[in-house]
Amino acid sequence: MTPVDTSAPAAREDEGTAWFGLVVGLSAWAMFFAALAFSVGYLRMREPWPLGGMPALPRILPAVAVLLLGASAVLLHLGGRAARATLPTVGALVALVGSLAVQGFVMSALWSAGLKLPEGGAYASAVYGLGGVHGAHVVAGVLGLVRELVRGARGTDVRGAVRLWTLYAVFLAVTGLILFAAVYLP
Amino acid sequence: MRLFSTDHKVVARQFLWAGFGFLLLGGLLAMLIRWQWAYPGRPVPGLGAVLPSADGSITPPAYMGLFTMHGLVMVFFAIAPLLIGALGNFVVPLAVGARGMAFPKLSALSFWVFAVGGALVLASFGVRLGTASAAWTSYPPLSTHVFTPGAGQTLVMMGVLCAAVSSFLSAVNYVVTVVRARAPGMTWGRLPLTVWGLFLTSVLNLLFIPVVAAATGLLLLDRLTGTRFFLEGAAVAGRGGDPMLYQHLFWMFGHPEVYILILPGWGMIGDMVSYFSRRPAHGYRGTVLAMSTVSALSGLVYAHHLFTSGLSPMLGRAFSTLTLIISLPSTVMFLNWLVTMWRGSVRLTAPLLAAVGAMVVFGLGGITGLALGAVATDIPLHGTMWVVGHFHLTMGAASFLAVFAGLYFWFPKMFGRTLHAGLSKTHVVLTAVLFLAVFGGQLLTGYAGQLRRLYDPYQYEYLRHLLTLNKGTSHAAFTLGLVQLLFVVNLVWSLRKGPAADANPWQVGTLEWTCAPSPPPVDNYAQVPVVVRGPYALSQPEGLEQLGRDWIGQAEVLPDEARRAPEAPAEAAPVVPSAGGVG
Repeated sequence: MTPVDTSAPAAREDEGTAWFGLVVGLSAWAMFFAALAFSVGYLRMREPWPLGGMPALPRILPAVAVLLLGASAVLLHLGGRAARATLPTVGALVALVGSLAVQGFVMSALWSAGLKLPEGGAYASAVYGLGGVHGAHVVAGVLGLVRELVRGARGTDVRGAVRLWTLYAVFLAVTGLILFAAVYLP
Repeated sequence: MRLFSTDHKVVARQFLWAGFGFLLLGGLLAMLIRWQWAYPGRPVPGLGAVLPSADGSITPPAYMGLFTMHGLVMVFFAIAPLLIGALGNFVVPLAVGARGMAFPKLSALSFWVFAVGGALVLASFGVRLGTASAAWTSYPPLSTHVFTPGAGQTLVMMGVLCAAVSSFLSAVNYVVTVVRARAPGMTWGRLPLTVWGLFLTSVLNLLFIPVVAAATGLLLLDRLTGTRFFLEGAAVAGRGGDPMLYQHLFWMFGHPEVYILILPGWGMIGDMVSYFSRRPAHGYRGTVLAMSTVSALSGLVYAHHLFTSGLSPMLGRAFSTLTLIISLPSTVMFLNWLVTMWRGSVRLTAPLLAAVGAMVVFGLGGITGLALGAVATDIPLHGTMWVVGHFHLTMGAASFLAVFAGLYFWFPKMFGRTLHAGLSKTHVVLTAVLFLAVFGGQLLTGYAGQLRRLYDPYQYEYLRHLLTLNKGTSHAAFTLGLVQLLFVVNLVWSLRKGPAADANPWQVGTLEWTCAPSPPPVDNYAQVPVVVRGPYALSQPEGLEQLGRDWIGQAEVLPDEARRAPEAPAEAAPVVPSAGGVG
């Protein structure tokens, strides 16, 4: 039994482990949105959607919001592989903020059209509640990208981090798509 | 102990102390509930200072808060942090041969998110209108602002959300640590069963914690922002949602939660019966497969909690069948444990006694659960004390005995000191017997028709004869509470003055006992061990012959093996010398 030096297992915080952890974490957290989509589906089974007397939901603008999320994922993917990640990351950040703005505009327009809480019941709850919850996740992405841009401006190589944020952007796009289908599609 | 340490062993101890604190709180609340059922309306000795307006007796609103918070505290803030937070954080990296958790900062974050949740729960006791009082399930409409308008319910729901996020973060960490940070040679087939249990629990946590987070989040939105996901009917002006939706979401998580809280215990039982019968775990692969099958099925049976909630009878049959099927893999596991012990050289140590106790109470809890899995028998028993007895045996007694098994086993490694063997055994045996007395009493009253959550059951003529039985059960519960003082005394005394622990007092071969001192250093291992065998190399002829002992370390190369493969590197970490022997 001679002790010999052995290489340590994969460095605990190497990129592969971080990537795997993020995939596991985000895939699992998608269950949160699956549960929300299930909730809307359950409520939609009980009564017409939209409810009589309530404004119909737009489709194009919410779809644009999801497309912007997808665009941010594509830009981050490119940024993580480019020599300099700054420009694509700025583009992704703009896309995320744009998505938030579009979603905010949709909600504001619906509120003005008379879809209010609590009178709007489950119908309005799904629009504002789920939109708000997803929006909070997008805000987390915005803050993350701002942080990476600040680190990048200070000279840190953030391409590895940008590759991880790409996963988060994909997560935002996929969950946005799920909620779009659950709430806005007829 | 640094407060914001990222060392998994420190985080484990933080979860341990926090979990014990909440266990004490949850236990005291249970004693008050039992007092009310034994002496309804009579002042509780010493409670006059806390409830002066009621002269120390438990009022109906206070009683609602008591049983609500007992359940929530025990499930989210005592069992989970002790079994998964403390033992999981401590054991997983050590047992897989890692230098630490895959994400050490996440480990610390999971504790601090849990601590914030705990603080919110504690704060809820001090607010106007009192703490949460909609039972541990927090069913709407009871849990909405219409029926529990105070801030207490909101604070508790936020606390539960924090506990859920903490569990989720821990689960990510455990899964990634097991998948990515295992020592060289530590194949899946060489993982101790405890690690398998914690791994499967983490997978279930990953899948179902987000569901309860969604349910709790929507409930909080209903309480705070005016959404109407769960309120309907006369409780709302205009259109509403559906309270039944919450029941679906809650039990999608709630049923797997039973297995989340027992799978680590099953793993520990499997390990303990092998270690202390000095035999390899019989049917290791079968046990792992059975645990995995139960985990998979646990996500498919939730609607048996809704048999009396208007579920379609056709669905009832399907969910009933799936529920009953769970008994098959469970039986495989039980048989494997029993066969492992059969004709083994059984050593009645405290960890083994606790493991056997957990087997017994879980067995009884499982059998009584069959009646709740079948529609025909569930309908009369649903909502009775039978349910309470059943889930206390499975989720409470079995989980806590597993906690004690794990803690008695890993205490020397965790703290570098030895517990008093006699006190430990006495504590475990008395606890197991009293668990049976208390929760057996609940089963009997339930079978006699006593509904759960009644403030004063004896207001009903047909339940009056149960007062004597309830008194006996309550006295058993009070004794159970007192018996825990044995554990406290043992713990405090051992931490201060207990003899220094040997590196491998139990004489087993897993990495934490054979390659690291007690307690292990910050990075766990002086050098990363290279695993060459499974965790249960006990009573092997070659070990007896070549080493003169009945265990072989997982990273230990026998002289014969080294000679037979001279060109292969003798990749092994040195086995830490051990004198062995703790009662």
